This record gives sequence, structure tokens and C-alpha cells, in this order.
Amino acid sequence: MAMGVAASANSEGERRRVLVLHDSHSALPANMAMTAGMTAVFEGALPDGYDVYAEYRDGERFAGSEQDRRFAEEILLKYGDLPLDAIVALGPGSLAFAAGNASSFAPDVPVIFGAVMQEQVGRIDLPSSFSGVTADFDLAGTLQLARMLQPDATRVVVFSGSAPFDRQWDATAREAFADIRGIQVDHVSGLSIDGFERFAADVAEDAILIILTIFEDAAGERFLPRDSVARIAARASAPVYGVYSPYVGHGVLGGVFSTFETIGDAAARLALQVLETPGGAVPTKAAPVSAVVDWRQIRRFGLDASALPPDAVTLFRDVGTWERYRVQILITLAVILAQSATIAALVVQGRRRRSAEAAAAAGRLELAHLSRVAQIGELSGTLAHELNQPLAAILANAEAGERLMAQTPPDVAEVRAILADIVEDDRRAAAVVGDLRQLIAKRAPDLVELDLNDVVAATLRLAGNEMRMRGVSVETRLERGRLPVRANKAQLQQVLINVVVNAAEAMSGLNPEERRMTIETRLRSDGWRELAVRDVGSGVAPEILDGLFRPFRTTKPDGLGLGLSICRTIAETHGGTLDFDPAVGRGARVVLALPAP
Amino acid sequence: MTVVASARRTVHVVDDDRAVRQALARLLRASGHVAETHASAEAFLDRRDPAATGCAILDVHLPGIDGLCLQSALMNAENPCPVIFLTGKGDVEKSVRAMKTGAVDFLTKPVQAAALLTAVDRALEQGAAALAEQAARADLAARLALLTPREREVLEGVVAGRLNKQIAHDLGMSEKTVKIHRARVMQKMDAGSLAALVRMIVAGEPPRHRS
Repeated sequence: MAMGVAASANSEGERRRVLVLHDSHSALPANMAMTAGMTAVFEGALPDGYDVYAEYRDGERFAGSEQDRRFAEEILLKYGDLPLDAIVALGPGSLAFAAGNASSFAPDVPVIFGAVMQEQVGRIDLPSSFSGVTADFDLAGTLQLARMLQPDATRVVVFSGSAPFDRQWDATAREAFADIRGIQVDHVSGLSIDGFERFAADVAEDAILIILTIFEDAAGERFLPRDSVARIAARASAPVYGVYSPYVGHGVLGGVFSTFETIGDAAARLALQVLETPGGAVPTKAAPVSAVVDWRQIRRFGLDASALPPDAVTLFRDVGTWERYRVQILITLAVILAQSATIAALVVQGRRRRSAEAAAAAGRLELAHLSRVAQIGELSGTLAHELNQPLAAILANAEAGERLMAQTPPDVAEVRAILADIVEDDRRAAAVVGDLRQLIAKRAPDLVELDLNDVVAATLRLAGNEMRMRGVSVETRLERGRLPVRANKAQLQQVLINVVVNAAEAMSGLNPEERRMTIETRLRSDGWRELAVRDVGSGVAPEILDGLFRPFRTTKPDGLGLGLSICRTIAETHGGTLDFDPAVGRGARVVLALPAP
Repeated sequence: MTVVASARRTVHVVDDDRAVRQALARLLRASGHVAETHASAEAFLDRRDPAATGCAILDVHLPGIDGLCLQSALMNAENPCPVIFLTGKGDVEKSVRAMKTGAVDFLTKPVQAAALLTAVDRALEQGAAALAEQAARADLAARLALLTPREREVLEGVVAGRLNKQIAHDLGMSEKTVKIHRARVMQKMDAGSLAALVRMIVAGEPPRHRS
């Protein structure tokens, strides 16, 4: 059996096999970003096909050389019969593991490493056959960026956690900041997460907070570093700077670093180089770095954006909830308007309370149902929040009105004020409905030229957390280079989010390790651009395929069935189509096709 | 009946949406409560009288200090203020965290009056109970402070269940002196009986005939 596998692999000749060893686990956003960066390179460069295998050492949670040995044994058992062409070790833990163990499971296979700092490489005893891409997490550059934005700062506070990896970072930072002059630098570690939060909340407003990594706090509680950083940043009274790109967007103002996509990209390019030069030495090099900042944080702390270096990458400049979920907000509000108008009218009459109560109850049922519509696109939860505010006000007002009317004598003045407020809330909604009508009148949306690949990347930034929570691993296979389309970014994102969330939901019955989603973009031979989302869930029966795009059709027990219908309308206003791929085997594949710009 | 009792206690509504906090306050007032509204956690903390009793209805998502942070601040305060959370969405993770840290309830907007008012009654009861307990503790501490070091030693012996004779031996005094100290302790601690004295010290119960 084993022989058979090896023989057939050889007969295919040039099909390449790359085993990627990751630190930590598959749901870590950094790992997903690096994988995305790598596959994008392989996709274009290996026309004869390639297989990327991934294993996760997870050394933060399963530490020790005994665990290393077992992991190496498992890899040998699993991959021993496969002719691997290269091993890519991402992260310092993977590199240390590969340096010590690769000869036991894959002798003579070249190892390329990435996402390791230059200083960390120096600490590991590397075989000469190893080469890689050192990530520059430019700590000095990050501090410089912070001082450009906060020229009056007098103190830098550097946080790090208690895990071995965290302590490595602490050592690196102490070295990097040893020669800093003109500002006080304090290194803080050995606190619990609450301790860090309190520290950050109490720090002076003009301080500079730099958070390295906190995989584990002093109380032994473990975190995804992004989550621990986000918790601290949320309470910090001073701007927070980070060392990894996935932190940005989670309360961190920014930093200077290689993004994980560029690391994955550079590691993949190096791997290709190694594949092309068997036996030849390929030099290790550094991945490019840039300043990355979150616009919302700049605004939160009232910093002067003109102080930013000209090549800084500014994220989240203007995409608000409204832009993102416009269609959903509009449609939901339209229906709510009708409901709240009914409730208001019934309260105004002040009599037939019983029927008013019945209507209110029916309204609540309806609202509960509608709030699920909100869930279609609800990723950050802000949409439901914004929708539920006016609903909550109207309901509480109506119920207060009912109670006041029941008193003798009723407080007519107060009821009048209540009614005025209900009317006011309706009026707000009515203005929104005006916009909705314009939208539904199929007025051409505001189209600009966009890169479809960018839209995928931006959407995954939004949906990444949701996918992680649902235990879904997302693989992207993007067309190389730009894939321009004329589209409205918010609407396109909405379609993609909807389809991606649907796909994730379809796989909720599977074991987490089976929940795999693939997002592909490609240029079709007829010039159309295609974006496909594939899941391995239960799939869709052919006889209901078409009906699914009609409003109020759904296979989900708690779905309303508006999502796909809205999505198809959006695709059509863009001159494109949205369909299920009937030819797919297991699961479902949804294809959005858009014409050339 | 709870209406009368709670009328002197304030229900604080903290929500950044003016329409929502006003409507909730109206509903509470129409149901006989005293309600105050605040646009943010900061505003609430600024205006809150630390000595007053009551409860707070917090939106989970608040600008600045968010609901969960405010809750932990309130729970750590000298005079704890029970918290009911309102949220726009069924956020499981947050609700678990909130309940773990002692929130009275975690309700979803739009909230039905009945559910909200039930939660408010429970929160006010909890607040009152916490306050009574605190008062009892303060009262006990004040009484203990009245004792002389000698009387304290006698008290410790009594609570430990030792006989007068044994206490006299332990402390190197006559049994008669122990009896005198013991009588003073009973008087200063305002304990009607030996059993009441022991309960007071061990369980922190207030003197029964005074409450």
C-alpha cells in the first residue's frame, strides 16, 4: 500500500509536495494569513500542481522535548511514504523543532523557515541546509513610529506575558530598547490579565504602550495573543502599539512589521528558489516591513495623522457599520417600521388594550424573527445592536404607555411625550426607508474599480474571527496579480460575508478539523472574473437549488431566507450572476461571476 | 409591595442611545421605580452617590468604558451595585462572563417589560441584602472595637467553647475576674445569650433583638 502511494506520486513527476510546520494551532489568524500568502505564490508558480500539507506543533500548550519527539514520530508515520520536496517551518517554535527533529522524519529534505526574527535565528543551532525569511518586527521602528505620533510622550511601557515565547519577546525588547535615550522605558511582565488591564487603564494618557505577546498570564490563564492584547487595548488610556499585524484592528494603534501575508509570500518564493536549485545554498533574507496603523485608533486618541510616515499603511479609514451593512439595515428597518407603526397606533387609541397586547406580542415574535435577519450579516454584532436600539426604545415606550394608561387618572402628558418619541423613532426609520426605496429602485450602485482579491482579503479580515470561533479553516486560492472589477466594495463584501457564513453554517455539523472552506478567485477565459466559495458541508439538493435565491426560502431551521436573495440582487445590479455550482461533488460551491470592468 | 420598598432606591439606566435610556426610565417610573439615566459609564460613575443603594441596567456595548468593565468596577466598589445587562445580541461569551462576575441577569433587546421588571426587583433585593450584610459587618466591627484587649481574649476563649475555669487558667486570672469580663463582653457586644454571641462572631450575624 505504502509502495503504491510512493509509486503513483513518482509517476506524476513534477507535482510538488510541501509540508508546512506551524507554531501554535490552525485557527491562529497569523497562521491563516501566512498560508494565504504562500498558496497565492504556489498557485501561480507551480503549473504542474502542488500539495501543501500543514501540521501544527502547538508548542505553547504542549511544551517539552518529549512532545517534540512524539510529534516527529507522528509526522514520520503520516508522511513517511510521501516524497516531500520541502518543509516550511513557520515561527520560532517550528524552526527549533525542525532543527532538532527534521532529520528523523525527513532527512535530505530542504527546510525553509519564516516568521522568525533575526535574533531568534541566532539562538537556534541551525543545520547548514536551512535557509529562510527572517521577519522584521521592527521594535525600534515601532517606537519611532509611536514617538512621531506622540512627540510629547515621556514614558514607554512594554508589556509581555509569562509563557516561554512571551519571555523570549521580552528579552528581545530589552535588547532593542537598551540604548533608547530621552524617554523612560519600563518593562512590565508577571501580571495577570486583569493586572495588565488595570495597569493600562491607569497609565498616563501621553504614555506609549507597547504590547509584545501574552500567550499566558501570571495566573496561568492562556490566550490567543491577539485576544489578550485586544482586552488590554480596549481599556488602555494611552495608545497601544503591537508587534504583529493581526493585532491591528483589535484595538492596537499600529506598529512596524512584516505582515504575515508578506512573510508567507516571501517564504513561498524562497521555497520555489530552493526547489529550483537542488543542493545549492540559498541565502536567508529579511521580509519587508512597513508601518501599519488603524485609523480608528488614531482618531480615538486624537493623534495627528499628518505625522505618519508617507509609506504607512492606514487601515479602517472609513468603513463604518453603515457602509458595511447598509442593505441589511435598510431592509430590516423597513419591516420594523410597519411593526412599530402598528404598536404606536394601538397605544394612541388607548383602548382595546387587550388587542394592543396581542399585537405587541405578535410584534415581538416578528421582531425576534427579524433580529435573525440581522444575523445573516452579523459578524461584529454591531448591526444587531444598532437595530435593536430603536426597537428597544419603541417597545419600552409602548409598554410604559400601556401602564400609564392603566393608572387613574392616566398621566396624559407623559403618554403624549411617549407617543411623540415613538413617532420620532418612526420618522428616523422613514428617512432610512426613503434611502431603501432608492436602492431597491435598482439605481446603479456607486461603482468603482476594485481588485477582487483585495475584497476577499478585506472580507477575511472581517470574518476571520467569526470563522475561528466556528472552527472553520479557510484556504484562499487567489488569481495571481490584480483581478479588477467595477463594483461597490461594501455590497460585494456583504455578498461574500453572506456566502462565507452560509458555508460555515453548512459545516457546523462536522468535526472541527473537517470544517474546511476554500475561497477561489480566477480570471475566466471569457474575461469574466469569478469568485467561488466552496464548503464540504451537507450540500444543497438539486431540486431546491434555484428556489434558494428567492426571498423567504431557507433550509435553515431558524433562517428567514433573505440573505441569498439580497446577494443575488446585488450581483445582478453589478451586471453579474450568483449561482450554485451544480457540478460540485461533496458540499456546496457558490460562484459569483462579474464582467470585466 | 416591593414597589414601596424600592421607591427609595434608584435604578440607574446606562445606555448611549438617548431614546432607549429615556424609554426604559419611563417604563421603570411607570412601574413605580425611581430611575436615573446616564449616557455613559463615565457619566454614571461621576454622578453616582457611593453611599446610595439601588441597581444598574447597563448596555453591554458602551462607548469608552464598556458595560463589563463598569460592572467589575461596581462589583469592586465598597457599596456594590447589582447589575442587569442589556444587549443588542445574544452574545454568549459576554453573557457567561457577566454572569460569572455576578450579574443579576443578561437580557436581550428589545426587552419585555415583565422580564426587565422581574430582574430589577431581584437586583434591588440583592442590593438591599448586600447592604444589610455590610451594615451588620460594620456594626460587629464597631462593637469589637469597644472591647479591651483582655476582654477580647476572654471573648476568644468563650467562642472557642472553653469553660470559665479553663479561661481563667489560660489567662492566669481568677474565675471571678473572667466572669466580670464576660459580663462586660456580653453587654458591649449587645448579645442576649451565649449562643447569640457565638453566632454573632462566627457567622457575622447582627444582634437579633436589635434588628
